[in-house]
Amino acid sequence: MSMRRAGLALWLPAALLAIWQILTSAGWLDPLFFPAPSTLLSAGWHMLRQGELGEQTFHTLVRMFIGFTAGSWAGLLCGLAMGSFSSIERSFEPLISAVYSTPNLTLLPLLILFFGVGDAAGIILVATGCFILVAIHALDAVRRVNHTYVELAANYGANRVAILRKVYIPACLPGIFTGVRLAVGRALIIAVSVEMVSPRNGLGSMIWLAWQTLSTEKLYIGVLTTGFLGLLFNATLRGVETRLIPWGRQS
Amino acid sequence: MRRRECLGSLAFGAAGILGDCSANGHRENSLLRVATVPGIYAAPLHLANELGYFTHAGLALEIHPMSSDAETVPPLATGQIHAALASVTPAFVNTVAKGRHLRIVAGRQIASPTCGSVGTLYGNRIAFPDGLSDLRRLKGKRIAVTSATTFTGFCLDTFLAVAGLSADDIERIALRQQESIAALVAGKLDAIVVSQFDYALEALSPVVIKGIGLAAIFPNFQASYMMFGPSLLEAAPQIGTSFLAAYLRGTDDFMAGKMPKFLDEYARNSRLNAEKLRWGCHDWFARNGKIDLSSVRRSVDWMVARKFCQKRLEAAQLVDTRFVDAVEAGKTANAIK
Repeated sequence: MSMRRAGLALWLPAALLAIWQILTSAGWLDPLFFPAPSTLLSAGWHMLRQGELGEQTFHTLVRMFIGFTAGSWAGLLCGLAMGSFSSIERSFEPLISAVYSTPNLTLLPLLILFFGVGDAAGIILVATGCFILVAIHALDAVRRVNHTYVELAANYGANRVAILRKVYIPACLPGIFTGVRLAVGRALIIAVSVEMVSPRNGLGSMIWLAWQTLSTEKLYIGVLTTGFLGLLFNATLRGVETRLIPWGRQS
Repeated sequence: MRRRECLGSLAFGAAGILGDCSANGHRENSLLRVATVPGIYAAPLHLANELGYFTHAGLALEIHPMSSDAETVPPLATGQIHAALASVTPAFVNTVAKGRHLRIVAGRQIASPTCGSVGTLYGNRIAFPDGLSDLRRLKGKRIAVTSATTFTGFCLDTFLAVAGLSADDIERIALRQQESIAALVAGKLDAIVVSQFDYALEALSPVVIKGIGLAAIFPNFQASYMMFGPSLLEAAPQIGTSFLAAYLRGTDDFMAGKMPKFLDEYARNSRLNAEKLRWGCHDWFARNGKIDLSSVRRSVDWMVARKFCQKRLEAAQLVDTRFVDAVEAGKTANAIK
């Protein structure tokens, strides 16, 4: 079964790569702009051995994880508080809705003015993106808790702590986890985007530099590595979700 | 003669440029796509267009604005555009090194000591209380360029070399110009190197101090060129020559004081002082289109030293002087007549 799933997940990318290779080898695609997958593989291996790819990926991951961790925790607490207390929800929701519908990168110039041109502005932007997503999903998860279960637990004599532990947390976890999974993807997108706009190092900086120098192999490797990281995080978090919250999928 | 023009036009059309001969031999203008980054240095092109010099030469011009010089290279290599007005970028050199037929065919703008703020260092007064005359004061400072690979990166490395400093002696930050100006004023940056003409900086004089410009180090450094792609270099060189001749006529007029309407629009959109813009840089163009090989060489050497280009090309490998020579020969022939 798992082999079948792996096959279903892999056949389309494999077919696309094969077609790409054939078209480039046959001269139908311009190798200056569409280097063959085999060329990319060898260039990627070279960059990996030189340490360049690992170093740039590391810088991106550091920015991403600091922003993600800070933003997600803050978002979780804020979302739960909003879901639990209507006064907090009424106070925070307009602001969160406004920031949610604002493209993240438009905030960068303001953050640069406040926090300077170092890493802080970029990390805060990543944190903001994660905060909003996790807060919205946490709020939604609390709202969706079936009050019949709460009343049932109360009728059986459960106290407030027990209701929180046995009803609210299990009921909210799937929704919160969905928010966290989306936030990881968002964190990666924002980290790479910030590096492209304000390049110092990282995958975004590498992609931007490759575009500026028309080193197309590097450009593709940067994009593919970013895509691969997104895929990896998503698959890992899905695996964690299945193990930790098995009732999430059923619900 | 008409038949020859038609055949020329058809050859041009095959190269992706629209030239049409109707049944009665009537020849329509050939469509020529030209890419440029909007700014003061595109003024001669717009002037020539507004005065009808291209139409007179049998060309219909389509000007494609680009956000950076490097972005002009892929469409030039694929034939989506036929000519570009840009600086020599690593993208251009790398593309030529990979065997693509792109060439610099004429020189354009010279980095000027009087023209606005292009290629000039500006510092925050608090970071440089004793001024910016001594470039050694850059050590340990946070300095922004628009991009490490472009003209401002070249300028900053030149300033550092003059001061006997290395790239590791400063913190280099890449930021778009408007963001870097805002950060400089807010004190989040110590200095910036300016890429675009911006007199707004002069108005910030209590906070911002003006430093050295590239022209003080390399007088007459040629910073911008005209490039042709394969369609003009191979399929229709005569159209390339006509285009260049019309462009250089526009340059002559611009330097003589004529101004395109384009500049007023540009000033309005960029919130610049139109009058200052009008007279700021009109005398810093290569009048005859001659290419300064030493400037090209200097740029390429810098790109190789910074590892933006893997392969070192000689300046002559990037240049094709046939068009400038043909325009010059045409002028001489007209003068003799």
